[in-house]
Amino acid sequence: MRHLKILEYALSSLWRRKYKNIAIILVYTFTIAVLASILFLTHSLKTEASYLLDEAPELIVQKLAAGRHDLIPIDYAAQISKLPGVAEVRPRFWGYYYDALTEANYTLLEVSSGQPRLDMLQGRLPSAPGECAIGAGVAEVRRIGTGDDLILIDSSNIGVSLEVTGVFSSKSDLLTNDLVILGREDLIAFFGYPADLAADLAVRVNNPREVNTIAAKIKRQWPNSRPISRSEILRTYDAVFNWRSGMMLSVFAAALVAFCILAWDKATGISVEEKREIGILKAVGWETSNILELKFWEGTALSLTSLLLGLLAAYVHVFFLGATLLTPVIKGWSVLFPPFHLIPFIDPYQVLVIGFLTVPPYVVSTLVPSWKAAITDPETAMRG
Amino acid sequence: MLLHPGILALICGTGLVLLMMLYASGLAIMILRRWDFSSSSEVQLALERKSYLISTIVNYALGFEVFSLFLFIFTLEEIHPLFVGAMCATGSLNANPIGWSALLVKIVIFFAAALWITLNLLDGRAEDFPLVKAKFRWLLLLTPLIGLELFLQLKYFLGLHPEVITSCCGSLFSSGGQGLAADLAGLPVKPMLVVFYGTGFLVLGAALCCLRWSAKAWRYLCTLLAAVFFPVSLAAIISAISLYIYELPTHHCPFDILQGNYEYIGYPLYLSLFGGTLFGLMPGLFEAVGRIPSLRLEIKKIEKKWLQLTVLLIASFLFLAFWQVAFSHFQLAGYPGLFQGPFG
Amino acid sequence: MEFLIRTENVGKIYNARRPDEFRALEDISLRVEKGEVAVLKGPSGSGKTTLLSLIGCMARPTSGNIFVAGKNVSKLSERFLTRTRQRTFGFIFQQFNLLRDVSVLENILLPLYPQQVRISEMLERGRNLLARLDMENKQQMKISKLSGGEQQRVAIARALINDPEIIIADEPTAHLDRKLSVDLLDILAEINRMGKTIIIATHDPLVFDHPLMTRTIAMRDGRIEEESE
Repeated sequence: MRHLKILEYALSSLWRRKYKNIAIILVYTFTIAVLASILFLTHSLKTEASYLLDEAPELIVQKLAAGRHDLIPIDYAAQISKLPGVAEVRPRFWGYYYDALTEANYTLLEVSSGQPRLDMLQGRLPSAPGECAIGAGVAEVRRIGTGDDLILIDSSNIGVSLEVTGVFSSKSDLLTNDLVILGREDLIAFFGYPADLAADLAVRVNNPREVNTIAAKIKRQWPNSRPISRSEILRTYDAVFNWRSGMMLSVFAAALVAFCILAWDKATGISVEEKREIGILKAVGWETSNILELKFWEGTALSLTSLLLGLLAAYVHVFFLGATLLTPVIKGWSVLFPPFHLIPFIDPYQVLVIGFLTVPPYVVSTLVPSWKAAITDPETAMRG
Repeated sequence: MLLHPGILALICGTGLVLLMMLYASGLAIMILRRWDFSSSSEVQLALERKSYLISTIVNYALGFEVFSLFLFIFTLEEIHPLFVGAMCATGSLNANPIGWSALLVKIVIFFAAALWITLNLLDGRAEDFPLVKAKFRWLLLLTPLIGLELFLQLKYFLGLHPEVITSCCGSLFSSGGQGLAADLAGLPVKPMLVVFYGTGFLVLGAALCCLRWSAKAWRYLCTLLAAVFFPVSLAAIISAISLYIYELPTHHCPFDILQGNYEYIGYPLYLSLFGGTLFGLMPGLFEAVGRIPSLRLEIKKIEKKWLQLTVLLIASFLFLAFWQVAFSHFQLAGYPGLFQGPFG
Repeated sequence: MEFLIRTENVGKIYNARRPDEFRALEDISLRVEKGEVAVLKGPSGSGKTTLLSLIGCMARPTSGNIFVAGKNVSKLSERFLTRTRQRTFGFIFQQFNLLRDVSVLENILLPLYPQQVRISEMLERGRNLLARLDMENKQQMKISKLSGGEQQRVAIARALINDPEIIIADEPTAHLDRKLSVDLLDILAEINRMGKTIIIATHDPLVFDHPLMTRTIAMRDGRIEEESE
């Protein structure tokens, strides 16, 4: 009962000094919004990456030459499929293409049954030579659609024209934006693949828990191979995003520190009026602990309000405005940058982390000034 | 590894708390040297005011420690995909075994800080601050604990190497494994449950006896039993109760019960266990305080509340545990009787 | 008969052992009986306000003892001092000390916020008091909009909200004209008839020569010069 009454007094006291408090809330909200944007963005990208890998093969085997990725002999497939626990081995054909016209990198992939599920925007997958399907990003950057021609320069420097039979999106824009899917024969001819070589081998295993064992066997038998498991890729993504977001957070820690200095300054520079008010409260029977509680509620109200507003602002910034201020750093290296839509995703853990990063520093900066105010001598009220 | 947002939050937060506690300790030393309640000098008044500051600091520190215990466990849960073989928070802890020590210290700090706050509360209820020296001496022990916590957390997180293959709860908490956790998991279910309920009812009994009689022996007994009940309960959760929650004879993990797919049952279980243990510890620990004349009445009043809370929380905990076991779809073969039949 | 208030050799020193050390009170021994109206008279700087704050449990004396209703309050911790003050005393300050941007009712109820009193009971007490002081229709007005006399009545209502035994008034007529001063003394007389003990500090002759006063204590330079009943 007492706590409720003090809370009510705290809220009305905040309202009485609304201009000063609104200023603090604005700065606090901005700081939280920046930090929260970073976390929302990285988490959303991580989630996208995991969707991306949902349909990926459990194990991919590449060949290394001088430590770098090399084309792999197709007969490895037959031998690998003899290993116990291996269900199926499929050679994959793909390659990167640099489009000088748009200064973008495309990924060319063969159409096959092992494709990730793709929602077609319009049209269909290529079913005959000379046809291709392209990602929404490619379509946008080349300004073409279904029925148009996509012209690429092959490995012998000859222009190849492919009819676009479909433009697709997927639940993960990251996956398909720069994708060009064409028939296997077209792709082999385009890149000039030797007859007995493939880009890599996709391996499906019977028991997913055995992936690492099988990978170890493959590595032992073919020392120049590099088996990569799906979980490894996921972990790498996770680690990279964590590192990037952590780095950005550290940078923006400066913003947080600046805010704390502001908070401390505002709390210390307690106005004459406020000091008088506390003196009166002490004189009419409020104890120091009651004043401390009052300050606690004031701080809590400010923090929670700013936290909510900051989270809201970050949500809008990242999921409606595309995180315009942050994406270059977080996404980093890719040149092809059509806008893509991030999957809105927030979980309670993120909110907890943001709360932890932003509320304790504020509490600490206002702790001593609050106490100094609370120990005001009631006698001062007597003397006026 | 350190640049994970959750980890940053934990380390920076604990660092802040440590700074605050160091400041509070400095003030405490000053108070210990110069406190003289019979004097009305301004120095004494200033010291009294400073003691308010210290209380506020420790209150906030405790609040943070409670939340950071959750944050720590959730972070472990969040980072487990980075470790090969890890399927939950246990796997994260095993990736660098110092993590277990860090967790243990966090739990100790929770209890220590809560007890200090109670001591402080009692001191404020007497007219003459009889417990000042005692409480500030204890404070000087709390601060190094938090320093230890920071050190262990740092050592743990810095020592995490994501590419290391770690064992998860399956292999750690399995009867065939080695180490304390495996030993705990390997405890036979029925005897464990008997010991668990037995100790639980003993605690309840002791608390009820304290409510009825004022002999100090009951209080010491209650505290002792509560102290024993805590590790027994943890062992029971790991070795027996978890089986019924997960409905799997090999799943012993104490953290997975906090997840959504088990209806977050871990929360009420652990909250009632921690709370019940905390209040159960108090009667005996603060019995000596009740002999101070200015606090005699106060202790009587507040002790009643502690005992009532002990009974309520421990009873809830026992009931929840019973519910999980009795109404689970899981039945352990070879254990006829209560755990099979009518409810299974 | 047990005196309601008794002080024994009370002294108060500010900034002890510092260059600006100041002895506000020295060797004060006085007694006030239940139901009395005692007045502390003397020029400013004589220590009246300091003595009031010590008796009223706002501060602890540097030396000596103070007994309020038989209880020694000179050695209490802040918490218990505040509790005693809440239960026993109501204060009317020199400058009213009301919160200007807060309503009349809220001002009056301020002392009750940190107490375990239900909100409904709080409101009832407040409204009853305002009714007795003819201020009922102004409960929601801000203090800044009230006249001097009205503010005075709000200050009195606040002092009475806890139903204290003792009312302490520090220079209550300092900012009032003659008419309002007379009104104030009438209200104080009524409060005294309710059974409350009143202690007033003043250098206004209108107050210390008023027939209401049952005990007069003259002070100068921190000491008692003269006491008369």
